[in-house]
Amino acid sequence: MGRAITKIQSIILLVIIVVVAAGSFWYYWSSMPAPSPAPPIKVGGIFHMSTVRGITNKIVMEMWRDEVNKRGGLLGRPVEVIVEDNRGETAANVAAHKKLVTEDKVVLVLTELTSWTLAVMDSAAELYNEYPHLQIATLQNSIVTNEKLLSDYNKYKFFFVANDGTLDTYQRYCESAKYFMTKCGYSKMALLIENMEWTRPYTQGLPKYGLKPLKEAFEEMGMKVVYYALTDIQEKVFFPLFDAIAASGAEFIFWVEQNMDTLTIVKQWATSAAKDIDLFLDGGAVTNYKFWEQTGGACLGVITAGPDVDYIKVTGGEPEFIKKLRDTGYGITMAAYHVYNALLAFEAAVKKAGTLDADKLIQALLEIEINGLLGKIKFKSPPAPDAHRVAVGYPYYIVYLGQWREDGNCKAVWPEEVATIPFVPVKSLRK
Amino acid sequence: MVKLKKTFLQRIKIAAVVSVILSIIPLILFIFNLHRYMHLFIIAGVYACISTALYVQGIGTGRNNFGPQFFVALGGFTAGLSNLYLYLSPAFTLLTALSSGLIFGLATSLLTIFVGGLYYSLVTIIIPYVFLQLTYIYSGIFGGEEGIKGISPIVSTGRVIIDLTIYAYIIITFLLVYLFVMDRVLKSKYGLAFRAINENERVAMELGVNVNKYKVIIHIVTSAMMSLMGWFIAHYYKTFAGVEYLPLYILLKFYLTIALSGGLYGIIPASFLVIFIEDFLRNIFGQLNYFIFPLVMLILFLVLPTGLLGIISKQKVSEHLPIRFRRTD
Amino acid sequence: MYDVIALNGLLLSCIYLLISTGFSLVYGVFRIFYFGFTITYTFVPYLTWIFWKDFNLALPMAFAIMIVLQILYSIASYKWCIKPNLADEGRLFMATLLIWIFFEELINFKYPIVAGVNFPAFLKGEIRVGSINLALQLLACCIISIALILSLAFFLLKTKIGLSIRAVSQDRAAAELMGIDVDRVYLYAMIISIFPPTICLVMIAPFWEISPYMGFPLLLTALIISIIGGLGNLKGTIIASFIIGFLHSAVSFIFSPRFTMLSGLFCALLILLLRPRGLIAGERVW
Repeated sequence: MGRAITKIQSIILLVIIVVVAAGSFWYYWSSMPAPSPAPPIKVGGIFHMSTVRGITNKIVMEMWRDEVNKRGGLLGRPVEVIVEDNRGETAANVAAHKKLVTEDKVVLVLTELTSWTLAVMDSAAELYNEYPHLQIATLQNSIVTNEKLLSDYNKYKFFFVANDGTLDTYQRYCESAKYFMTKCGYSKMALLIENMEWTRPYTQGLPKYGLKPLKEAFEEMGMKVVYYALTDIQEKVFFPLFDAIAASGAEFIFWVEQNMDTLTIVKQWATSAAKDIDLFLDGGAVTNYKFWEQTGGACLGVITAGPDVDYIKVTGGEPEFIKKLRDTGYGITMAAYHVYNALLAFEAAVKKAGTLDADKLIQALLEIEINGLLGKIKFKSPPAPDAHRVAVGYPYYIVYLGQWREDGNCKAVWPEEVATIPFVPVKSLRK
Repeated sequence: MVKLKKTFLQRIKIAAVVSVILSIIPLILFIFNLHRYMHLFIIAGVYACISTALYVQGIGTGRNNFGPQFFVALGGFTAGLSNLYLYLSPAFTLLTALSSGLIFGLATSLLTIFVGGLYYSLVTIIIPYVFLQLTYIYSGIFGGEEGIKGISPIVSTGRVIIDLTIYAYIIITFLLVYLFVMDRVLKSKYGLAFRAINENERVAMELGVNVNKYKVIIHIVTSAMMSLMGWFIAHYYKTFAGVEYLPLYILLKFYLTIALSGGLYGIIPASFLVIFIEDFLRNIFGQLNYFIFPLVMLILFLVLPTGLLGIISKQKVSEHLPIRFRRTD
Repeated sequence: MYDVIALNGLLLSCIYLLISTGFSLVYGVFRIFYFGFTITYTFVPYLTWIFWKDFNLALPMAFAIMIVLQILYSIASYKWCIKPNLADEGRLFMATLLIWIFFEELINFKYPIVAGVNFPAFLKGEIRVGSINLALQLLACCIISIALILSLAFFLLKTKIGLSIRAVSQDRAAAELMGIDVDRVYLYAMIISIFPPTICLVMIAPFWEISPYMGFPLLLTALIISIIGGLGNLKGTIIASFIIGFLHSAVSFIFSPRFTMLSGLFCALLILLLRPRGLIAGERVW
């Protein structure tokens, strides 16, 4: 025989039910829009809100909304931004997308990362006829989305990407590695690649696009890969790895990663036998402006892609953007640039098209070329293999590299067009 | 005789009420074009199905399986890979997912015989993590963190709300079949055997119950039930990634559903409660919901020791006993 | 090469030893799989940070307060979570899982990764041992680890409380009949279990991940080691820590770092299938 629910438990349950009911009523009431002469244009974003990236993206969207509304809105109408939390789950991504499109009636949805973007792409394609809207992906590198677009262009034509893709990144890796190696006269490198699906083009190459595995490409460029390994993103102990690298005689560590625990990597690198070997980390916590504090200065000399630098100027809007985000306490992520550029592009497309008709907006997006952050924004048109992705490479969108320096800030060191300080090997910095 | 008839009628009533309520809800959502709620309904149905299988597996094997997500992932990957590489339609990938569930269910059922108590639970925690590691190492097959993409849908009418409604009825069908079949099983002689295994395996064996046979059968059947849900998820989302379904966190929702259910039929309202509360909290509290959700669940969990079903029935319904052994006074 | 593997193996073994001892002790005494132990790891840096940076206390004082709070949390966990649910593994699992997630997300909300939670090393500098560079603080961690385990062994073997703990872990009913206050012994076990991981994390914080989600990877390591060594058996835990430490070092150095985690998982799985009770069978703490 189980025991029946007690009186106190009933009361607690009743309280919970009343709170939930009151909350739903309040939520419904507060979500009812105030009457306005011109209905707002709604833009949605689906991000993982327990991450710094997600929070920053939301801040950027709200920042853009305030700026646009100050300028008089779009097509004479105010702009409204709705951000949904995907909780890191595909199911929540799709649910959020359906809500934004069918209930909130957004004209544009911003998504992030590849797997979530793909799930929303399918959901968007299904809903497009009834609810035409655009989808712009941010921090989405893999070329699979572009391949999906081109496989059925008519079905997925609403889809765009606001950042660099596999082909661009591959080129950046080659160019930047060559730059650092030749600048310091290095010839031996340790190449590490995190073991994930997005790095498969770099570990196995992309024969379809004429890309060799990165190791081969580096060796063809004259760099000797004396140590090569795939790393596990859940790894927390790197001492043996750094000892192995030091033993190999490598002069530069080139680590292709976005999901490694860069905090632990840098802390352990700085006390290991490899501490005088220059270290390049592609992304992660190492790009945040608080990383110096987090590592107690152990990141001195580390080079990384797209970090939160104290100053960079490409088109001119960057310094103010950086300042605004630093004032929030969260700092910049590369995704923040993508989100802002996506919204700037959308704004320009609306103004150009003069309408919110999705097909006309798609056409307008393919025609615009505007000043964004970190370069001009221009979307590639078919039949480019990465069609609907932003053009990359100066004067268009660039991914710069920064180096952590003695003053505790990260400074842009590459490409030379935007570098604020020359690159210095870590051995010299430590002296 | 009268009491037997009454019990039979009572059972029919419960089944009928549940079926009618579940069938009406998607219709209402369809009429009002509520895509998002339809989607949540479907997800709640999936969780209810998995929780049902897990609940019965726990009763039948006398062990806590802390890795049911392994079978969900197995079914999902089997369905996805056979759809993409063998060009099988969803009707046939259902069979492949079912087969993989049965085969691996058979293989892992040996654990219920040779590994007991906590050790079994630990093995079931580790297996999904091993699988997760393999999805990264063999990312060419499993797609790594991106998963496998481009899986064909079960249905595609061109109108999203119709598609969603059909998916909703598919999952309702699965759920009702799972519930009714498991209900019959638990009230049969098998249920009696399961109860005996649960209470004391050794005594049950000594009384002549073929403990191993029952454990193996129920383990295989319930594992296959979970694999079928993997099949559904793969074809519903048209993508399937191990990193979404293999980590430990997903277990939370299954066990929450079971903990809040109070009995087999209680799984339905419990799963809907968990899914809808989560969505509701996300909309109300935004970022705060990450710690408010576990807090709310903890409160519910502590306040409802007998589960949702316990609210309406003052005594715990002895669902494990066949009818003729049930007390009627 | 062998000196690198050996020295790194020794370093990792000592770290893993401290991480897994507390978890093993809890299982050894309670015979429960206590998921709530995850948050013990996370509390070390974050509770310290609150009192060090937010309340501007001196770092040693902040550490002391953190330890006191950990003790109080252990007592509260035992009284309100573990004790009422000792008989029901499923309920205990649920409750501890929810508590763990609640605290983890609360910490992430208040101190996300950009909060910059970090601790300076007490001992600065490195020494060269063979062909590896070893931070002095990590070397100190190794020494403290071994000293702590020897102290714990002495405590369990020679002191009255230690004997009570061993008695309860062997046979609770018999211990009760012998007049041992089992409730108090449980409390002692909970309190003692927090010290090894706390000391470990204080020592390795300058070289390890500090994030709100740092708990689970550490618990997984502790779990693997406990499984291999024998659940709840400290002798087994000591042996297993060294096995896994050297295994991780060897796999990472000789094969590839990406197989490190998998190698540990496979070992645990093999042990569970072939010898479920672990290397040192006999369900007792020592």
